[in-house]
Amino acid sequence: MVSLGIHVESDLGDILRLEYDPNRPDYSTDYGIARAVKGKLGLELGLPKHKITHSEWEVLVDSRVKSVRPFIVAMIARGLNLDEEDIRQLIGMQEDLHEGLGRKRRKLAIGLHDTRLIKPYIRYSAVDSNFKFIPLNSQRKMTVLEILRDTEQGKKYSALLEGKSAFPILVDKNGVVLSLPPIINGSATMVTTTTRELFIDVTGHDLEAMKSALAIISEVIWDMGASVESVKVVDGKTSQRTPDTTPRKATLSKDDVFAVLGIDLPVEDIKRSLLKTRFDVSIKGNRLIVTVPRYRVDILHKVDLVEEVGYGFGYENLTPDTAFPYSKGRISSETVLTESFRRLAVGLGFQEVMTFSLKSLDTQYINVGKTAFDGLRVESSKTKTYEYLRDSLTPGILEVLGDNVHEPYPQKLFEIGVCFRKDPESETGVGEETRIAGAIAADVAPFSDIKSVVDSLIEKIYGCVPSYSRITLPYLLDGRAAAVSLNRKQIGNLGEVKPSVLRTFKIKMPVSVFELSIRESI
Amino acid sequence: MISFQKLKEISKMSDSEFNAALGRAKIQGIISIEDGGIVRKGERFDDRLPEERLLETVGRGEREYESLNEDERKVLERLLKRPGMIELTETRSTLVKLTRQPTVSFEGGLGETVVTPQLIKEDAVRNITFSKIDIFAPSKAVYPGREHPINRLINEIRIVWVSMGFEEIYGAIVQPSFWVFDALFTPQDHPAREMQDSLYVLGSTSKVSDIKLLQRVRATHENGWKTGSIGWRYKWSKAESIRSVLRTHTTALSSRYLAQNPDKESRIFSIGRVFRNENLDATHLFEFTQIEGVVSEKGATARRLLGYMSQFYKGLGFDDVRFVPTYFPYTEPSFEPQVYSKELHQWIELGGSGVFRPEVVIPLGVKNNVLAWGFGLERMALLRYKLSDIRDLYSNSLKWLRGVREYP
Repeated sequence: MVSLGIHVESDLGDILRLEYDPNRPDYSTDYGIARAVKGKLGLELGLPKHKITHSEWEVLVDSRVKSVRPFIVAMIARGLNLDEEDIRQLIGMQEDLHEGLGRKRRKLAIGLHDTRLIKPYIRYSAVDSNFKFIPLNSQRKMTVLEILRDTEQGKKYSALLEGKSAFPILVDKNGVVLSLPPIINGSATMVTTTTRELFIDVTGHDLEAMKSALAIISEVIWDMGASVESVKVVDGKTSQRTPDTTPRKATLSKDDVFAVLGIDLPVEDIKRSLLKTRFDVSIKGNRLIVTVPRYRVDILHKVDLVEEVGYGFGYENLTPDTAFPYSKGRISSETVLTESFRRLAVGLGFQEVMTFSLKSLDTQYINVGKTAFDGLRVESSKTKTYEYLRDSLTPGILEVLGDNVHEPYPQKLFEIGVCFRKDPESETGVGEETRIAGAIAADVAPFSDIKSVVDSLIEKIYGCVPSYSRITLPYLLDGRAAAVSLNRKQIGNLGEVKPSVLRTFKIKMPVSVFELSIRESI
Repeated sequence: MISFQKLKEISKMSDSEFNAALGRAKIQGIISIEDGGIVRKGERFDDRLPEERLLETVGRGEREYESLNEDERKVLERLLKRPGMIELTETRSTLVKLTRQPTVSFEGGLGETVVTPQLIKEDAVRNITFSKIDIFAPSKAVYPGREHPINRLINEIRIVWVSMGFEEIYGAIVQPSFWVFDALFTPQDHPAREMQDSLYVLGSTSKVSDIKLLQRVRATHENGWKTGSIGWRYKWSKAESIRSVLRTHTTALSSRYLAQNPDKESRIFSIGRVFRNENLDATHLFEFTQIEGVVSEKGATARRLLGYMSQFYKGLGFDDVRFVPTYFPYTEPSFEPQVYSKELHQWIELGGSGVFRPEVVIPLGVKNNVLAWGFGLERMALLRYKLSDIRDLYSNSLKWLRGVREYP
């Protein structure tokens, strides 16, 4: 399985639990996996070949739906013999395509219907919110509005139709409702184990993705032993027959394979690998002409074919190449500077702490007597308690002190980290700055103790003495707070923390703090 | 003294009620049972439980264990079994009394107790003896200044990179979506770009100054441009690419570096915080540390990538490494490095890797093949520090920070 790009989650003897990557929606049924395994084992090689016959069915697209959910493609499956497991497989595939390729039904949604219950032609149209029909899993007629508001499916997907005054609807010649895409099917055309023929529609905004989805479905229908018939979709003056499973051609050379994988494979080996991974291949000199089936949505570039060749060769056989050219390693100047500060702080007896850059409104602002007026917030954070980008390190340190009141004192802590502020001049609107902050919590923690630390740090890093001036900060005691400047530029502050602020953080010991900018915004 | 039979008659209790009542009364010391009869103890009947009585005396001030009588000690035993009720602490005290003249000496005789600068001088002219001290006395705990265990690990990893000839790069945490996603060929409707997965900065938009690069990336997304790809085939939007986002990976720094140094053969690494819109729980952090290395080298291949990675993971102390092919949106082929943990006796996924897709490197102007690999540091930190809850790494518990072993 690993050699097919499929991960085995567990092996229960007769049953394998498999995990496939999101780029392979064609693996969303057992049939799709079996198709690949047959190739790998050499039971079937190359492109699966099937014929599509034309059906008489037509889908007429009403111009009213164009502004809501513009496109539809469809097909007919005949000669099915569905059991419970087949239906489970089809639904599993439908869900996978909805989630991945369909981006949670935004790009596309699929409907499966029993043809016996439908009178062709089908109309793809739009209705208003008072339109009534019986949705799947319901006993009574409901209006579109009720369905969107009250049903489980409606609640989950109504956002996709938000702000629309018309709603897409799929009805047959007699007005029987097939579905309200992309929300829910009608109950009238439900698929059961007695279903022998399917009408399958894909509606959405992304015609390319919709066609790919229909190709993936077609392939599974064929693998189930049934046949696929096309449907004529008439959209204004244009019409097209779907599904479209026409394969694409790509070229590949042995040099392409060597350039990516680093293995020199004969053209014949490359061909065999590709046949085993279900591509058709013909050789023209040094080049291979590869036929890529429509259901392989993961093949964007020839490197994707090279990856397939790699599977054929066996990645376990790929030997590491360690003949590296010489190069000189180096630590960044940012790290050199922050590590200098870190070493000094450790030497001064401070324990390093590391907190998150995202903080709560309370910790970062309210508890230190500041407002979040200029605060930077992230959008739709799942953890509401961590949604402000810190503008300073001191609140985080006070929080750590408050969490450790039962540990022996003195507690001397420091943190080095990035702080953020609004900066319209910067590339992203956010200015960043690396800072160091520290705190002494002890029976006595006078201003002079923390000033000694600041003096020492600055002298050892910059080789000069800073100057101090009085400042007022909402969390520092008036008259015991100072701004630190270097070459007339303010780089930080220090002082004794107000008892009221200490109580807010549940700290019972006196605390003095400092915070210095290490490096300006990048 | 009263007989059982008599008392039972008076009480009008059932057999079981009577036996239970008698038992309680005995435990509480209201009665004692002697020779088949019941004796009332004491004149005054106190309806408080002995537990209450003991707590009350303790509550008036600490009581010494020695002062408790036998009954009270039994009550204490019972109270100690109940959490949060009472605490028994042991204190040792020595009573010191000054005598007019020293009469007895500590073993080894009298002497000076403390070495002082003065005594050091005097020692030159007269022989000074110092008293023996109690070397067995417990010492006062001291706590050295230490770096955070995460940073310790970061510095170890940095040494591995530098020893392999890699140069460290550094950059901003908030990035234009362009560098985090678009330049890495991540389509604009990819789930990773949704607000459910990534954290965008409210009210901030970015500027991307290289318009030509923007156009090349747009074309690559829409139709593959000159990369040989068919592209993602959708309408690319500039507005989406300039939303300011907390970087979801440090690969954003690598893509910027490559765009600035398209012709240079380079081996670079970065270590930095990255962000995802996650709920905080035992296995997820919304903010964690990514380690990443990128190689831009003429003729670099997947085999070379495996070579670099084998050396790198060995440098980190993992002797057994294997590479399982997998899928990542911006590399092809892609591998998941797995290391064998001797502690857990199993293979552990530790990162992702691959060869950058042509759709990534060609629009950046890079002609070389580009190899990249990286992993989340916290996962390794859990192994190293034998923790199971990832939140513990950032709880900043001083107990852990002060106690964690320095030498692994």
